[in-house]
Order: sequence, then structure tokens, then C-alpha cells
Amino acid sequence: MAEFLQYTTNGLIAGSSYGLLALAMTLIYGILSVPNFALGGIYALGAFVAFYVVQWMGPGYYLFSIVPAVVIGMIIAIVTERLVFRPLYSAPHAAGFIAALGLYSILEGSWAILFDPTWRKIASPYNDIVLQLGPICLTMQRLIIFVFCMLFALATYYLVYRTLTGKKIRAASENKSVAQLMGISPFTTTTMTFIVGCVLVMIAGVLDAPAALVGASMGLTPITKAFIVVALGGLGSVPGAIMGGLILGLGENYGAAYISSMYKDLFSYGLFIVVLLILPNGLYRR
Amino acid sequence: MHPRFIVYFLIGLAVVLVPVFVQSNYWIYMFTMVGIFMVLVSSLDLAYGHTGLVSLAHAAFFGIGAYSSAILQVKLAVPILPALLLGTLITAIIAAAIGWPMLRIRGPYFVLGTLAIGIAIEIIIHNWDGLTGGVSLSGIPMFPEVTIFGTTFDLSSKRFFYYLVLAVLVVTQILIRRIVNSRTGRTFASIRENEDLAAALGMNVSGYKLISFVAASTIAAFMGGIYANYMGAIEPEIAGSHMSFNLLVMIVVGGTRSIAGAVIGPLLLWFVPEFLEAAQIYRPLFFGAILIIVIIFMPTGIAGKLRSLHPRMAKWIP
Repeated sequence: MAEFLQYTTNGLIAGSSYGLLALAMTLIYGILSVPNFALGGIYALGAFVAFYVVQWMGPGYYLFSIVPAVVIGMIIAIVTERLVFRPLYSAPHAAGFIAALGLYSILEGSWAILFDPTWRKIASPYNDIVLQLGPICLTMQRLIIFVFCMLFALATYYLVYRTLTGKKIRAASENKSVAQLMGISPFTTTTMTFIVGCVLVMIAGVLDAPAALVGASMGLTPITKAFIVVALGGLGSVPGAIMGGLILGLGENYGAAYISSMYKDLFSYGLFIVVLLILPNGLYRR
Repeated sequence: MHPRFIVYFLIGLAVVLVPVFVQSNYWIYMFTMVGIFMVLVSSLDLAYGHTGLVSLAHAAFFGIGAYSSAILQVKLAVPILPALLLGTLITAIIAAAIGWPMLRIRGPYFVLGTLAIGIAIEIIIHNWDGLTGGVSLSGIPMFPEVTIFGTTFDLSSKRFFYYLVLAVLVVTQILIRRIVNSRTGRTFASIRENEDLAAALGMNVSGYKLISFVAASTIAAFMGGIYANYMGAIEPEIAGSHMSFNLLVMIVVGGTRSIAGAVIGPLLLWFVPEFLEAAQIYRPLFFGAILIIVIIFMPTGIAGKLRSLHPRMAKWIP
């Protein structure tokens, strides 16, 4: 029983991170109908920002690195939306997806060139504090991951469902032309959505960095899993993304614990295929 | 007869005579490899360019073909030719098994599925080291010597592989042409243009998508088997998502639905960087940038752009 609680905890922690990434992707997909694969490269950038802040200012400033990460995230969001995705608004969706792949490649390649391709670890002060909550054991860092991811997910939920900006985003996601007739600019709304998405992903990168190895291609697997979560949770559905992320995290950890830990990553793919065969439209309808 | 056939003939002649005039083994290797990429890109074009299936798993089947043939030869001492054919068959079955559930899925889900498959297969090959030798599988035998009519041919020479790859390339092009110009090919085209309409018109969309997917994967697998014997040793990366991505970039940049495109893609995106000895580290950046530029400004690729320049040009770009 104790182990089960431990696996559940691990699963929820990993799942919160997937949920945040999935949330970013589902928002952008909702408005662009393109899964923005480049978010994987942005995730890695978030981790690198955390790495260099810690390196230049000391481990005490680890949490502070969220601030520059958010700023850089906004800039990247605006630049990529303008340069890469806006010219493809009227192109078939496959073109947007291919462009997103190309953008991911550019980002991953750039990080390898700029920051050296070697994998490295970040010294976060929270990594060393180990908490014992009854039968469950976890580092402070991982608790932070969970708490912050859930906080930001809820903040985004609030933004999307309780503010005017969020309403505009939802309107434009549902029907761009009618939204335009209502006076909602698809351009600014898309840029807003991109900013929200990229910022979330940068934050996820900062949070996950100390718990994993930092490297140029660290975003590939998480973003693929986020994509899986979005596909399962329903493309464009906010609650679907968060719930789906948690479920995927749990599924992965139970699988690793009870079946095989070497093939842990494969469980997400297996789960994905199984669910898609049963529910071709995912868990939540849009 | 159109003058372009003279040009094609001359190009073909030059290609056939290359090993006669080129002594350097390095260049023969370069030409052989670029030929292998052309076969892979052409087969991907069948699934992507003609049927509209964005597959990020193409290299996975190349890898599975290579590994099946190699494992049969190394672990089970199966002779080369049966191993090659058996390996291709095994991969075709795997492709059908994977494709059948995947192809019923539409749009971005499908692409995601192929990406997941691609990553998963690389992981499996890497981790299942009892079967696949883990990080690398070596000891794949060379072709033996063959004696016909008193002349001994040393088939283990790299030059022989050049002609073998060339032959596969030519046969692949003929095969793809015949498929595309047939009723099956026209079904592929309708699926590509408007899947719902094709289904509404009573076409067996899933079935034909499966045919396209399996055909493309089988060609890649066959090339993989030959690649395994050519290199003598293979590693899991040949089946990975980076390789699949590179193939996709080659077909998009070169130009879909065009022989010229399948030639331009690998030349521009493999031969040129290798020739310039551009460091591996710069390539993803370069590939990504070219991909984005092409998809925004020339969605039909370089070949498509050349064709659209002038009606007369279209005849010259096959």
C-alpha cells in the first residue's frame, strides 16, 4: 500500500508537468489548429535559463529564474508567431505542423550550438531537501513542481474561462470568422494565446530542470507526451489537458512500477494507442 | 520525341559510368549513400506526396528492415538473400500491424502516432540488446564472391553496392510510377485531396491508406536490409525520429510527387552538407530553417517551384 501511494505521488508530480505542457499546446491548437511542436524547444530554453541564472547568480536565485524565463517566453512567442505561423494562417494544416517541426529543429539546433550539447545538471537548493509525509518520500523540488504546475494551470483556467481575454481566445478558437465579425482580432488573439502558451512552457522548463538532465534535446520526449495528452484529452480542451496530463503521469508510473521501468516512456505511447482505438476523439469533447 | 529524353539519357549514362571513372572509394560511398536516401525519400513520397500521409515513422521501418535482415544473418546464420527477403517481409507485416490501427486515426493524431511509433521503435531497438545488440549490431557479412562462366565477381566490393543501390532506385521509380498512374494511384490522389469526399464516394479509404503505407514501408525495409550488408554494422539511430524528420525535410524541400524532388532533396540536404563537411551540430538548425522557408514560400518544394515558373519548364522536371 505504501508503495502504491508513492507511485501515485510520483505519477501526480510527473503528470502535473505534462498537464502544464499539454495546456499550452491545447490552447495554441485551439486557436491555430496546428499542434505547436516547437514548444519542446521552448521548454528546453526554460531549463537553460534556469541553468544560467543559477550558474551566474547562485542556487539561491533558482526560483527567481522564472522571471527572466517569462520575459524571454513572451519575446519568443511574439517572434515565432509573426515569422513562422502567421504566414501559414491560410495554408493547409499539415503545412503548419511541418513548420512547427522545422521550428523545433531550429530551436534544438540553436541550443546545441549556443549552449553546448552536453547534458548537465542544475544545482537547485530544493533538490537536497527530502520530505517524508507518512509513507511517501519526495524531494522539495518535486513538491514545488507539483504545486507550481497546479497553480499555473489553475491560473490559466481562470484566465481562459473568467476573463475577457480568455473569452476572446475561446471565441476565436471556436470560430475565427464569426469572432472576427464580432470585433475580435484573430491576430492579437493568436499572439496572446502564443504568449500564454510559451510562458507556461518556459515555466515548466524552469521547474523540471533540476529534476532532470538539461540538454538541447530534452524537450522532445516531454512535448511528444504533451501532444499525446492533448490528443487524449481533446484538442482544445483545457480541463482535458490538465486531467489527461495527470492520468498520463499516473499511468506511466504505475506501468514502470508494476510492469517494467526500462520501457517507461513506451507506456505513454501504448496508452495513447489503446485509448485512441476506443475513443477516436479523446476523453473530452471540445 | 522531346529533347528532355536526351538529357535524361546523358544523365543516366553518366551515373552508370561513375564507378568506371571515379577511383576514390570515398566518392563511391557518397554516391551510394545519396542513392540510398533517394530510395527512402521516393518511398516516403508515395505515402506523403501521393496519399497525404505525414509519416514520421518512415525511418523506423528502414531500421526494422535493416535489423531484421542483420539479425537473421548474424544470429541465425541465414544466407544473405533469404535474410534480405525475409527481413523485408517481416517489416511489411509489422508495418501492416502498426498501420492498421494508426491509419484509421485522422489528422494530427495520425502524425503524432507515427512520431510516437518512431521514437518507441528506436527505444526498443536500443534497449532490447539481447536481440539487437543494443548500441550497435556488427558483424554483418559481406556479399560473397560469385563465379559465373568462369569469371569471378567480387560482390563484396563497394562498387557493386553502388550499382545495386542504383538498380533499386530505378526499379523503385518505375514501381512508384506504375502505382501512381494506376487506379490505385488515383485513389491515393483522391484520399490526398479530400479524404471525406473519397469515403463518401465509396472508396475504401482505410484500405488504400494501408496499401500506401505498407508499400512505402516495404521499399524502405528492403533498402534497409541492403544498407545493413553495405555498412557491416548498424545502430538504433538509423530508425530514429531524427532520421525520419530528415527524410521528411528532404521530400518537402525537394518537392513532392516528383522524381526530381526525390533527387534534389537528398542532394541538397545530405550530399551538400556532407561534402562541405558541415559539422553535425549545425545541421538541425540549417534543416529547420530551410524547411520553414520552403513551406512558407514554396509549399510544393523546389521541384514544384521550378515547374511552376513556366509551362515549358514543367515538362523538364519529371
